[in-house]
Amino acid sequence: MPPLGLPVLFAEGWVKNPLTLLPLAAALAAAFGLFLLLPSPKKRPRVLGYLIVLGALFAFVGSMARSTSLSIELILQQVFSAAAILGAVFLVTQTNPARAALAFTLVVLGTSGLYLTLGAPFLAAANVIVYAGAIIVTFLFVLMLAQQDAPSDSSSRSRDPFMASLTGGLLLFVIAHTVTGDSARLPVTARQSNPAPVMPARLTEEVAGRLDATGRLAIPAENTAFLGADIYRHFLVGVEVAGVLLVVATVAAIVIAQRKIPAVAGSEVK
Amino acid sequence: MVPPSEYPDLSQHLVVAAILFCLGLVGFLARRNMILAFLNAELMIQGVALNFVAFARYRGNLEGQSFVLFLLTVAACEAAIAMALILVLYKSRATLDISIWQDLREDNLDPVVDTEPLPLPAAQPPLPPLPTAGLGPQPPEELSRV
Repeated sequence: MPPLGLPVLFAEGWVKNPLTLLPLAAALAAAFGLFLLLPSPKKRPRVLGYLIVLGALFAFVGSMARSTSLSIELILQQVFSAAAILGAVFLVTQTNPARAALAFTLVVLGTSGLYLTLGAPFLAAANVIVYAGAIIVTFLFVLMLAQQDAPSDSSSRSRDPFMASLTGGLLLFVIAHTVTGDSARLPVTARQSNPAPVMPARLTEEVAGRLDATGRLAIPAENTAFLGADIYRHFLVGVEVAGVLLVVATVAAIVIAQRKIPAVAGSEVK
Repeated sequence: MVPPSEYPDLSQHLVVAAILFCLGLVGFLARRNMILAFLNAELMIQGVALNFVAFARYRGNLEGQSFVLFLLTVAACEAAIAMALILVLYKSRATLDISIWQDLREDNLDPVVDTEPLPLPAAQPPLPPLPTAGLGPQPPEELSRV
Protein backbone atom coordinates (compact mmCIF):
# COMPACT_ATOMS: atom_id res chain seq x y z
CA MET A 1 0.00 0.00 0.00
CA PRO A 2 1.63 3.30 -1.02
CA PRO A 3 1.83 6.06 1.58
CA LEU A 4 -1.14 8.36 1.25
CA GLY A 5 -0.11 11.96 0.95
CA LEU A 6 -0.14 15.00 -1.24
CA PRO A 7 2.74 13.84 -3.49
CA VAL A 8 0.93 10.59 -4.16
CA LEU A 9 -2.33 12.42 -4.76
CA PHE A 10 -0.89 14.81 -7.28
CA ALA A 11 2.17 13.26 -8.88
CA GLU A 12 0.53 10.16 -10.22
CA GLY A 13 -1.61 10.67 -13.20
CA TRP A 14 -2.52 14.19 -14.06
CA VAL A 15 0.60 14.98 -16.06
CA LYS A 16 -0.25 12.14 -18.37
CA ASN A 17 -4.00 12.51 -18.17
CA PRO A 18 -5.29 16.00 -17.25
CA LEU A 19 -8.84 14.64 -16.97
CA THR A 20 -7.95 13.34 -13.52
CA LEU A 21 -7.82 16.97 -12.42
CA LEU A 22 -11.53 17.33 -13.17
CA PRO A 23 -12.72 16.32 -9.67
CA LEU A 24 -10.34 18.79 -8.04
CA ALA A 25 -11.50 21.57 -10.34
CA ALA A 26 -15.14 20.68 -9.67
CA ALA A 27 -14.61 20.67 -5.90
CA LEU A 28 -12.87 24.06 -6.01
CA ALA A 29 -15.59 25.49 -8.26
CA ALA A 30 -18.22 24.25 -5.82
CA ALA A 31 -16.30 25.93 -3.01
CA PHE A 32 -16.22 29.21 -4.95
CA GLY A 33 -19.95 29.00 -5.63
CA LEU A 34 -20.60 28.37 -1.94
CA PHE A 35 -18.51 31.43 -1.13
CA LEU A 36 -20.76 33.46 -3.44
CA LEU A 37 -23.87 32.04 -1.80
CA LEU A 38 -23.03 32.24 1.89
CA PRO A 39 -24.92 35.15 3.45
CA SER A 40 -23.06 38.41 3.47
CA PRO A 41 -24.00 42.09 3.69
CA LYS A 42 -22.36 42.54 0.27
CA LYS A 43 -24.48 41.91 -2.79
CA ARG A 44 -23.30 38.79 -4.57
CA PRO A 45 -24.86 37.12 -7.62
CA ARG A 46 -27.04 34.39 -6.12
CA VAL A 47 -28.33 32.79 -9.30
CA LEU A 48 -24.80 32.49 -10.65
CA GLY A 49 -23.72 31.01 -7.31
CA TYR A 50 -26.45 28.36 -7.42
CA LEU A 51 -25.56 27.50 -11.02
CA ILE A 52 -21.87 27.13 -10.14
CA VAL A 53 -22.42 25.07 -6.98
CA LEU A 54 -25.00 22.68 -8.39
CA GLY A 55 -23.20 22.28 -11.72
CA ALA A 56 -19.88 21.67 -9.99
CA LEU A 57 -21.31 19.17 -7.49
CA PHE A 58 -23.15 17.19 -10.14
CA ALA A 59 -20.05 17.25 -12.34
CA PHE A 60 -18.12 16.00 -9.31
CA VAL A 61 -20.47 13.05 -8.82
CA GLY A 62 -20.42 12.41 -12.55
CA SER A 63 -16.64 12.44 -12.77
CA MET A 64 -16.49 9.83 -10.00
CA ALA A 65 -19.22 7.63 -11.44
CA ARG A 66 -18.51 4.23 -12.94
CA SER A 67 -20.40 3.29 -16.03
CA THR A 68 -23.24 0.93 -15.27
CA SER A 69 -26.20 -0.35 -17.17
CA LEU A 70 -29.27 1.82 -16.88
CA SER A 71 -31.83 0.42 -14.48
CA ILE A 72 -34.76 1.75 -12.51
CA GLU A 73 -32.75 1.34 -9.35
CA LEU A 74 -29.97 3.48 -10.75
CA ILE A 75 -32.40 6.20 -11.83
CA LEU A 76 -34.04 6.30 -8.40
CA GLN A 77 -30.62 6.48 -6.84
CA GLN A 78 -29.67 9.47 -9.01
CA VAL A 79 -32.94 11.25 -8.22
CA PHE A 80 -32.60 10.78 -4.46
CA SER A 81 -28.93 11.77 -4.53
CA ALA A 82 -29.80 14.94 -6.44
CA ALA A 83 -32.55 15.77 -3.93
CA ALA A 84 -30.19 15.30 -1.00
CA ILE A 85 -27.45 17.44 -2.55
CA LEU A 86 -29.93 20.15 -3.55
CA GLY A 87 -31.38 20.28 -0.05
CA ALA A 88 -27.93 20.42 1.50
CA VAL A 89 -26.91 23.38 -0.69
CA PHE A 90 -30.11 25.21 0.23
CA LEU A 91 -29.59 24.41 3.91
CA VAL A 92 -26.11 25.90 3.93
CA THR A 93 -26.96 29.02 1.96
CA GLN A 94 -30.45 30.11 3.02
CA THR A 95 -30.66 33.38 4.94
CA ASN A 96 -34.02 32.53 6.43
CA PRO A 97 -33.49 29.87 9.15
CA ALA A 98 -36.99 28.43 8.79
CA ARG A 99 -36.41 27.82 5.09
CA ALA A 100 -33.08 26.20 5.96
CA ALA A 101 -34.87 23.82 8.33
CA LEU A 102 -37.31 22.91 5.54
CA ALA A 103 -34.36 22.34 3.19
CA PHE A 104 -33.00 19.90 5.76
CA THR A 105 -36.27 17.98 5.44
CA LEU A 106 -35.47 17.62 1.75
CA VAL A 107 -32.06 16.19 2.67
CA VAL A 108 -33.70 13.72 5.06
CA LEU A 109 -36.19 12.60 2.42
CA GLY A 110 -33.38 12.19 -0.11
CA THR A 111 -31.22 10.09 2.19
CA SER A 112 -34.25 8.03 3.20
CA GLY A 113 -34.86 7.28 -0.45
CA LEU A 114 -31.24 6.24 -0.78
CA TYR A 115 -31.70 3.92 2.22
CA LEU A 116 -34.62 2.34 0.37
CA THR A 117 -32.49 1.67 -2.70
CA LEU A 118 -29.81 0.28 -0.38
CA GLY A 119 -32.20 -2.27 1.09
CA ALA A 120 -32.81 -0.57 4.44
CA PRO A 121 -36.54 0.18 4.56
CA PHE A 122 -36.71 0.19 8.36
CA LEU A 123 -33.97 2.79 8.58
CA ALA A 124 -35.67 4.86 5.88
CA ALA A 125 -38.87 4.97 7.92
CA ALA A 126 -37.01 5.64 11.16
CA ASN A 127 -35.04 8.41 9.50
CA VAL A 128 -38.18 10.15 8.26
CA ILE A 129 -39.96 9.75 11.60
CA VAL A 130 -37.08 10.81 13.83
CA TYR A 131 -35.55 13.54 11.69
CA ALA A 132 -38.31 14.99 9.56
CA GLY A 133 -40.91 14.32 12.23
CA ALA A 134 -39.26 15.09 15.53
CA ILE A 135 -35.95 16.87 15.21
CA ILE A 136 -37.05 19.34 12.53
CA VAL A 137 -40.13 20.20 14.55
CA THR A 138 -37.97 20.89 17.60
CA PHE A 139 -35.71 23.13 15.55
CA LEU A 140 -38.65 25.00 14.04
CA PHE A 141 -40.18 25.43 17.48
CA VAL A 142 -37.05 27.08 18.84
CA LEU A 143 -36.77 29.14 15.64
CA MET A 144 -40.28 30.44 16.17
CA LEU A 145 -39.46 31.41 19.75
CA ALA A 146 -36.53 33.43 18.43
CA GLN A 147 -38.17 34.83 15.34
CA GLN A 148 -36.46 37.78 13.69
CA ASP A 149 -37.85 39.44 10.59
CA ALA A 150 -35.22 42.04 9.74
CA PRO A 151 -31.71 41.07 8.56
CA SER A 152 -29.70 40.26 11.66
CA ASP A 153 -26.11 39.52 12.56
CA SER A 154 -26.95 35.88 13.06
CA SER A 155 -28.53 35.09 9.71
CA SER A 156 -27.23 37.73 7.29
CA ARG A 157 -23.53 37.41 8.05
CA SER A 158 -21.07 34.54 7.76
CA ARG A 159 -17.88 33.91 9.62
CA ASP A 160 -14.94 33.75 7.22
CA PRO A 161 -16.93 32.34 4.28
CA PHE A 162 -13.96 32.09 1.92
CA MET A 163 -11.77 29.97 4.17
CA ALA A 164 -14.74 27.84 5.25
CA SER A 165 -15.81 26.98 1.71
CA LEU A 166 -12.21 26.40 0.60
CA THR A 167 -11.76 23.97 3.50
CA GLY A 168 -14.94 22.16 2.53
CA GLY A 169 -13.96 21.90 -1.14
CA LEU A 170 -10.50 20.54 -0.42
CA LEU A 171 -11.82 18.07 2.15
CA LEU A 172 -14.43 16.90 -0.36
CA PHE A 173 -11.78 16.24 -2.98
CA VAL A 174 -9.51 14.39 -0.57
CA ILE A 175 -12.30 12.20 0.84
CA ALA A 176 -13.70 11.34 -2.58
CA HIS A 177 -10.26 10.70 -4.03
CA THR A 178 -9.49 8.40 -1.13
CA VAL A 179 -12.68 6.38 -1.29
CA THR A 180 -12.98 6.07 -5.06
CA GLY A 181 -9.36 6.24 -6.21
CA ASP A 182 -7.21 3.29 -7.06
CA SER A 183 -8.41 0.16 -5.39
CA ALA A 184 -4.94 -0.26 -3.92
CA ARG A 185 -5.68 2.43 -1.41
CA LEU A 186 -8.57 0.62 0.20
CA PRO A 187 -8.28 -2.83 1.62
CA VAL A 188 -10.19 -4.76 -1.01
CA THR A 189 -12.57 -6.35 1.41
CA ALA A 190 -12.19 -7.31 4.99
CA ARG A 191 -12.70 -10.90 3.98
CA GLN A 192 -9.93 -10.97 1.41
CA SER A 193 -7.40 -8.88 3.27
CA ASN A 194 -8.10 -10.65 6.54
CA PRO A 195 -8.59 -14.31 5.70
CA ALA A 196 -8.83 -15.53 9.30
CA PRO A 197 -11.25 -13.17 11.01
CA VAL A 198 -11.21 -13.03 14.77
CA MET A 199 -14.97 -12.59 14.95
CA PRO A 200 -16.97 -15.52 13.68
CA ALA A 201 -18.55 -14.65 10.35
CA ARG A 202 -22.25 -14.16 10.82
CA LEU A 203 -23.19 -12.80 7.43
CA THR A 204 -25.41 -15.75 6.84
CA GLU A 205 -28.85 -15.69 5.42
CA GLU A 206 -30.58 -16.38 8.72
CA VAL A 207 -29.17 -13.23 10.27
CA ALA A 208 -28.79 -10.72 7.48
CA GLY A 209 -31.79 -11.46 5.29
CA ARG A 210 -32.38 -12.98 1.89
CA LEU A 211 -29.33 -12.72 -0.36
CA ASP A 212 -29.47 -12.29 -4.10
CA ALA A 213 -27.34 -14.04 -6.72
CA THR A 214 -24.34 -11.77 -6.18
CA GLY A 215 -24.26 -12.42 -2.45
CA ARG A 216 -25.65 -9.07 -1.35
CA LEU A 217 -28.89 -8.38 0.49
CA ALA A 218 -31.83 -8.74 -1.84
CA ILE A 219 -34.13 -5.83 -2.58
CA PRO A 220 -36.82 -5.38 -1.35
CA ALA A 221 -35.22 -6.34 1.89
CA GLU A 222 -37.30 -7.92 4.60
CA ASN A 223 -34.94 -6.44 7.04
CA THR A 224 -36.98 -5.14 9.96
CA ALA A 225 -37.16 -8.51 11.65
CA PHE A 226 -33.55 -9.26 10.81
CA LEU A 227 -32.42 -5.89 12.12
CA GLY A 228 -34.27 -6.46 15.37
CA ALA A 229 -32.76 -9.90 15.74
CA ASP A 230 -29.29 -8.54 14.99
CA ILE A 231 -29.58 -5.73 17.52
CA TYR A 232 -30.99 -7.83 20.32
CA ARG A 233 -28.60 -10.68 19.71
CA HIS A 234 -25.37 -8.81 19.37
CA PHE A 235 -25.84 -5.31 20.72
CA LEU A 236 -28.09 -5.84 23.74
CA VAL A 237 -25.89 -3.78 26.05
CA GLY A 238 -25.88 -1.01 23.46
CA VAL A 239 -29.68 -0.97 23.42
CA GLU A 240 -29.78 -0.64 27.20
CA VAL A 241 -27.20 2.14 27.16
CA ALA A 242 -29.14 3.95 24.43
CA GLY A 243 -32.28 3.79 26.58
CA VAL A 244 -30.42 5.24 29.56
CA LEU A 245 -28.99 7.94 27.31
CA LEU A 246 -32.46 8.93 26.11
CA VAL A 247 -33.77 9.21 29.69
CA VAL A 248 -30.77 11.25 30.79
CA ALA A 249 -31.10 13.55 27.77
CA THR A 250 -34.81 14.10 28.46
CA VAL A 251 -34.19 15.01 32.09
CA ALA A 252 -31.22 17.18 31.17
CA ALA A 253 -33.14 19.07 28.51
CA ILE A 254 -35.96 19.85 30.96
CA VAL A 255 -33.55 20.94 33.70
CA ILE A 256 -31.44 23.09 31.40
CA ALA A 257 -34.35 24.81 29.67
CA GLN A 258 -36.02 25.72 32.98
CA ARG A 259 -32.91 27.33 34.37
CA LYS A 260 -33.15 31.04 35.16
CA ILE A 261 -30.18 32.96 33.81
CA PRO A 262 -30.14 36.72 34.37
CA ALA A 263 -30.26 38.58 31.07
CA VAL A 264 -27.37 40.87 30.28
CA ALA A 265 -28.45 44.48 30.68
CA GLY A 266 -29.90 45.89 27.49
CA SER A 267 -30.52 42.57 25.82
CA GLU A 268 -33.75 41.37 27.37
CA VAL A 269 -35.92 39.23 25.17
CA LYS A 270 -38.82 41.32 24.01
CA MET B 1 -16.90 -10.02 -4.10
CA VAL B 2 -16.48 -6.87 -6.19
CA PRO B 3 -13.76 -4.56 -4.84
CA PRO B 4 -15.17 -1.30 -3.43
CA SER B 5 -13.85 0.97 -6.13
CA GLU B 6 -15.53 -1.08 -8.84
CA TYR B 7 -18.90 -1.48 -7.15
CA PRO B 8 -21.03 1.32 -8.62
CA ASP B 9 -23.56 1.54 -5.80
CA LEU B 10 -20.89 1.92 -3.21
CA SER B 11 -18.68 4.51 -4.86
CA GLN B 12 -21.54 6.80 -5.81
CA HIS B 13 -23.04 6.62 -2.33
CA LEU B 14 -19.68 7.33 -0.76
CA VAL B 15 -19.27 10.41 -2.96
CA VAL B 16 -22.77 11.68 -2.15
CA ALA B 17 -22.11 11.08 1.56
CA ALA B 18 -18.84 12.98 1.28
CA ILE B 19 -20.65 15.89 -0.37
CA LEU B 20 -23.26 15.99 2.41
CA PHE B 21 -20.54 15.85 5.04
CA CYS B 22 -18.47 18.63 3.47
CA LEU B 23 -21.47 20.91 2.90
CA GLY B 24 -22.38 20.41 6.55
CA LEU B 25 -18.82 21.25 7.51
CA VAL B 26 -18.89 24.47 5.48
CA GLY B 27 -22.20 25.45 7.04
CA PHE B 28 -21.01 24.63 10.53
CA LEU B 29 -17.88 26.73 10.09
CA ALA B 30 -19.44 29.67 8.31
CA ARG B 31 -22.99 30.16 9.55
CA ARG B 32 -23.43 32.33 12.63
CA ASN B 33 -26.91 31.27 13.65
CA MET B 34 -26.61 28.73 16.48
CA ILE B 35 -29.63 26.74 15.32
CA LEU B 36 -28.29 26.59 11.78
CA ALA B 37 -24.93 25.43 13.10
CA PHE B 38 -26.65 22.48 14.73
CA LEU B 39 -28.72 21.77 11.64
CA ASN B 40 -25.47 21.58 9.71
CA ALA B 41 -24.04 19.18 12.29
CA GLU B 42 -27.12 17.02 11.69
CA LEU B 43 -26.36 17.23 7.96
CA MET B 44 -22.88 15.85 8.63
CA ILE B 45 -24.46 13.03 10.65
CA GLN B 46 -26.71 12.23 7.67
CA GLY B 47 -23.65 11.89 5.47
CA VAL B 48 -21.98 9.52 7.92
CA ALA B 49 -25.15 7.45 8.27
CA LEU B 50 -25.38 7.12 4.49
CA ASN B 51 -21.83 5.78 4.51
CA PHE B 52 -22.74 3.16 7.09
CA VAL B 53 -25.81 1.97 5.20
CA ALA B 54 -23.92 1.83 1.89
CA PHE B 55 -21.18 -0.27 3.45
CA ALA B 56 -23.77 -2.50 5.11
CA ARG B 57 -25.21 -3.25 1.68
CA TYR B 58 -21.80 -3.76 0.15
CA ARG B 59 -20.69 -6.15 2.87
CA GLY B 60 -24.02 -7.96 2.88
CA ASN B 61 -24.57 -7.74 6.63
CA LEU B 62 -26.56 -5.58 9.01
CA GLU B 63 -23.87 -4.13 11.25
CA GLY B 64 -23.88 -0.77 9.49
CA GLN B 65 -27.64 -0.52 9.77
CA SER B 66 -27.52 -1.38 13.47
CA PHE B 67 -24.94 1.33 13.97
CA VAL B 68 -27.16 3.87 12.21
CA LEU B 69 -30.00 3.03 14.62
CA PHE B 70 -27.78 3.94 17.56
CA LEU B 71 -26.59 6.99 15.65
CA LEU B 72 -30.19 8.18 15.31
CA THR B 73 -30.66 7.79 19.06
CA VAL B 74 -27.57 9.81 19.89
CA ALA B 75 -28.51 12.47 17.32
CA ALA B 76 -31.96 12.86 18.89
CA CYS B 77 -30.44 13.27 22.36
CA GLU B 78 -27.93 15.74 21.02
CA ALA B 79 -30.63 17.81 19.34
CA ALA B 80 -32.75 17.91 22.51
CA ILE B 81 -29.92 19.09 24.74
CA ALA B 82 -28.59 21.52 22.12
CA MET B 83 -32.00 23.12 21.73
CA ALA B 84 -32.31 23.52 25.51
CA LEU B 85 -28.87 25.13 25.69
CA ILE B 86 -29.62 27.43 22.76
CA LEU B 87 -32.86 28.48 24.42
CA VAL B 88 -30.97 29.42 27.60
CA LEU B 89 -28.33 31.32 25.62
CA TYR B 90 -31.04 33.16 23.67
CA LYS B 91 -32.81 34.15 26.88
CA SER B 92 -29.58 35.58 28.19
CA ARG B 93 -28.52 37.73 25.21
CA ALA B 94 -31.64 37.93 22.99
CA THR B 95 -29.76 36.89 19.86
CA LEU B 96 -28.89 33.62 18.15
CA ASP B 97 -25.58 35.02 16.88
CA ILE B 98 -22.63 32.85 17.90
CA SER B 99 -20.20 35.77 17.71
CA ILE B 100 -21.86 37.42 20.68
CA TRP B 101 -20.13 34.75 22.74
CA GLN B 102 -16.69 35.47 21.33
CA ASP B 103 -15.40 36.74 24.65
CA LEU B 104 -14.95 33.05 25.45
CA ARG B 105 -12.12 32.91 22.88
CA GLU B 106 -8.43 32.39 23.59
CA ASP B 107 -6.33 35.32 24.80
CA ASN B 108 -4.15 35.56 21.72
CA LEU B 109 -7.01 35.77 19.21
CA ASP B 110 -8.35 39.05 17.93
CA PRO B 111 -12.05 39.72 18.28
CA VAL B 112 -14.16 39.61 15.13
CA VAL B 113 -15.53 43.05 14.34
CA ASP B 114 -18.33 43.47 11.79
CA THR B 115 -17.61 46.46 9.59
CA GLU B 116 -20.07 46.07 6.73
CA PRO B 117 -23.48 47.52 7.57
CA LEU B 118 -26.39 45.13 7.37
CA PRO B 119 -28.72 45.58 4.39
CA LEU B 120 -31.81 47.57 5.21
CA PRO B 121 -34.99 45.55 5.64
CA ALA B 122 -37.13 45.51 2.53
CA ALA B 123 -39.53 48.45 2.43
CA GLN B 124 -43.13 47.55 3.18
CA PRO B 125 -45.56 48.25 0.34
CA PRO B 126 -47.73 51.33 1.11
CA LEU B 127 -51.13 50.69 2.59
CA PRO B 128 -54.04 50.99 0.15
CA PRO B 129 -55.83 54.38 0.30
CA LEU B 130 -59.09 54.31 2.20
CA PRO B 131 -62.15 56.48 1.45
CA THR B 132 -62.67 59.46 3.70
CA ALA B 133 -64.17 58.40 6.97
CA GLY B 134 -66.93 60.25 8.82
CA LEU B 135 -69.97 59.45 6.75
CA GLY B 136 -71.91 56.47 7.87
CA PRO B 137 -73.22 54.12 5.23
CA GLN B 138 -76.79 54.83 4.25
CA PRO B 139 -79.18 52.09 5.29
CA PRO B 140 -80.85 50.56 2.28
CA GLU B 141 -84.40 51.60 1.80
CA GLU B 142 -86.91 48.94 2.65
CA LEU B 143 -88.31 47.55 -0.51
CA SER B 144 -91.55 46.12 0.73
CA ARG B 145 -94.06 48.50 2.33
CA VAL B 146 -97.14 47.33 4.04
